[in-house]
Amino acid sequence: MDKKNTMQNVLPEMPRRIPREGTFELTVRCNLHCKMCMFRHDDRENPELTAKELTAEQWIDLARQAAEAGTLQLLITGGEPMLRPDFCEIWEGIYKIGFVMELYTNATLVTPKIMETLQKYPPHMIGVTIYGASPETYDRVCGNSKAFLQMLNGTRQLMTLPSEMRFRSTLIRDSYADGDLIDRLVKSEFGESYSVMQACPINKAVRGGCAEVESCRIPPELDMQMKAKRVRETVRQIVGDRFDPKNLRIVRKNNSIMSEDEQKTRLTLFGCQAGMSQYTITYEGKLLACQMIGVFYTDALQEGVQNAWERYPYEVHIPYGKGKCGSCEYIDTCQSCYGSRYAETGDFNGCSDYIYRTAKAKKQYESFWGGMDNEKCKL
Amino acid sequence: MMERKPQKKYQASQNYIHRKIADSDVLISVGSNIANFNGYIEMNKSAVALWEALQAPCQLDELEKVLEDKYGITHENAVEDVLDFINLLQEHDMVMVR
Repeated sequence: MDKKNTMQNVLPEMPRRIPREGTFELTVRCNLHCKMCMFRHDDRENPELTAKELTAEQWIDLARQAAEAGTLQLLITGGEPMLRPDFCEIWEGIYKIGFVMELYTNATLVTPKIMETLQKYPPHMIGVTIYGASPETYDRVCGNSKAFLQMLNGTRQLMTLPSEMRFRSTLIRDSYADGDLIDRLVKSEFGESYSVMQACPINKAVRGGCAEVESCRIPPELDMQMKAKRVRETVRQIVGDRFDPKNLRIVRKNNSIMSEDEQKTRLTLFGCQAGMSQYTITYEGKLLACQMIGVFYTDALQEGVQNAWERYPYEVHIPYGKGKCGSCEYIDTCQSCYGSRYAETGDFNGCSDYIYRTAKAKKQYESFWGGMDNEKCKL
Repeated sequence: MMERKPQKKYQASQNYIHRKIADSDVLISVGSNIANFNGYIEMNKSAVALWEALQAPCQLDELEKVLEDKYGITHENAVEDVLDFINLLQEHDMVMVR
């Protein structure tokens, strides 16, 4: 592939890139062992992973650099970020610099010390992932039945903060039956106004993660059937007595295939905000466009955030090519992106049976997805 | 001789952190203030000048001078602009009054 031509085609037309939204991946280690986790490595790698993790001082310095570079919003995530014994030191040091702070957690490791820190420096948003509605499901999915009660207790404490709370779930075969139960659990425990966003699709593990998702993820047809039911129920709750499923009108954006000329000139790196306004700094200090694509990176720890950000596009080399997307009848409902296609197939323009069946099932059920981003790049 | 009443002094609330984001200036709500306002506010250039002055306790005439010196506006306009700004800050609990 011609690297020089790629650079000439991408860079002159690229709009100004400002790293407004950062993700700091404090660790890829986790206290849970979820079967479908994209990032968690085998526990035998933990000593090596821990040795590579940045110190609190390094994270705070990177945050200062990120602020100077233009970052406004910062997500602290993992793995499980609260697994870090120095989580409070990192959180306080970064918070004082001034960001719109977000925290993703499984809420099972909330301690009095962590609560004391978060009460003083509350996140603007907390995202809690819930894996099931019972200890038994937590045991099947995460290998830890006690984690269910720990999650409940931890979330009850986090709910006392002034932070906006969001709940997410990733259903697999072992937790499929809990789909509606998780919704009801969240509403009954934390408030009727809350809902649970279910992750879809479930991608294969990336960046050395050890999960074997193919054996545990729900068949796309069944997954879409459940999601269609949830969407219809959501609409029914919104419109009340006026709800008439036979007269539902679906409005969906068309993701038309780009023209030949448009294919020659890219206005983004990956067809989304990854690397344009969004970035991730990994547990070892690498700068990625998103957590899913580890093959292209610069070194934020060695070069500094500003230089790593500016140099990043020069490290991106995606072959031109429509792949199978060009002739696919399900392109309008396909939710794949460069990251998910690479995770599934090792090819940025590849397609897997799972991706294809997911797009086909979505079209079949003609669901609309509210706030879901339909601008994932297809080519 | 009558003594002049001491003027009130105003100071920016510690519940906001001022950040420069590319070409913009924002105030990010932090701490327990998130319960009142969870987000950030964009400031124009004159708001930035006044906010920076308010990092230390200021009387209104000091703030008026900031605008007069920076923009060459009349005293009357400066008085009106500063009053509007301070009223807005007070309305949203963004300023302490001493």
